[in-house]
Amino acid sequence: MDEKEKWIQETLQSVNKPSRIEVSPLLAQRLQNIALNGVQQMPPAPNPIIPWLAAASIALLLGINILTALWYNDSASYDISAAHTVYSEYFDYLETLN
Amino acid sequence: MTDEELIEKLKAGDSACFGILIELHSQKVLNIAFNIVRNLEDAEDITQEVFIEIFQSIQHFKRESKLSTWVYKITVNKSLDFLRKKKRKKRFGILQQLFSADSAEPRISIRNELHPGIELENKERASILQDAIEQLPEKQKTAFVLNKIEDQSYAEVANIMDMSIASVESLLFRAKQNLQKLLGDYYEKNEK
Repeated sequence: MDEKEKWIQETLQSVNKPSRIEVSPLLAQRLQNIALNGVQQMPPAPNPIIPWLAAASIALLLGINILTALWYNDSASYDISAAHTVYSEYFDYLETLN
Repeated sequence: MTDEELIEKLKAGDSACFGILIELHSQKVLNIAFNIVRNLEDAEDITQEVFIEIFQSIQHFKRESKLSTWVYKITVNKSLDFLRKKKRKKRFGILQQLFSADSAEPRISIRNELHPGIELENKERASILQDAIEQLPEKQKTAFVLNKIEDQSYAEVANIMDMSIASVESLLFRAKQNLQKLLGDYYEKNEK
């Protein structure tokens, strides 16, 4: 084994099974507190129904918008002769004056 | 007390048994977290998060693996999540620096800590190896840390990482190859 190989092998073994890091008294206390009053410490879990409700609301809103737009387009294509009748009836007093 | 009895009592909400669980596994959890994130304060925070998660989800533990494997699996996942978040923050920080007015200020670089349990004569070599381990892909790094530093068997590593033993063997083989290459490059540049 050459010098470089030997150095690599020794370096690879330098972290083999180091002695354990001890849990500090402060961390031990933090962990015990979870058991003692863990439920109060926990952040409330998000209700899984809320994202679905939000998504459904958005879908409903979009649906209503699309339906309204379609309905408006249909009603906008009115008959030109009907409009002419309204116009002539509304302004017929002008004809009388003439 | 057997694992089965402990699980039963934990599921029943016995807080004294939760204390026993902490006693049994907190040191190992802390060490695994430290070996992945390389910072003692962060490892302590992760240890706390791990036990909060256990406390919250013990009811869902299906006994498909040993209790210890489940605990270490949560530890590995939390530690890797922490590293991913840290990387995202780092990327965002670099972007912020590019666009902020006071970008000329020197950046504070937080160097990863060396394992306090490494013997003094090995510290320099261990530091070099640690830097090389940091450069490994996530899965190779996790497998290497669990097997070589935490002394978990191939089967235990496979259970913790949700993989077959053959996959773990292959990961460790590739990790060792990569480390040999990285260390070889370092040797050529610095030690020759």
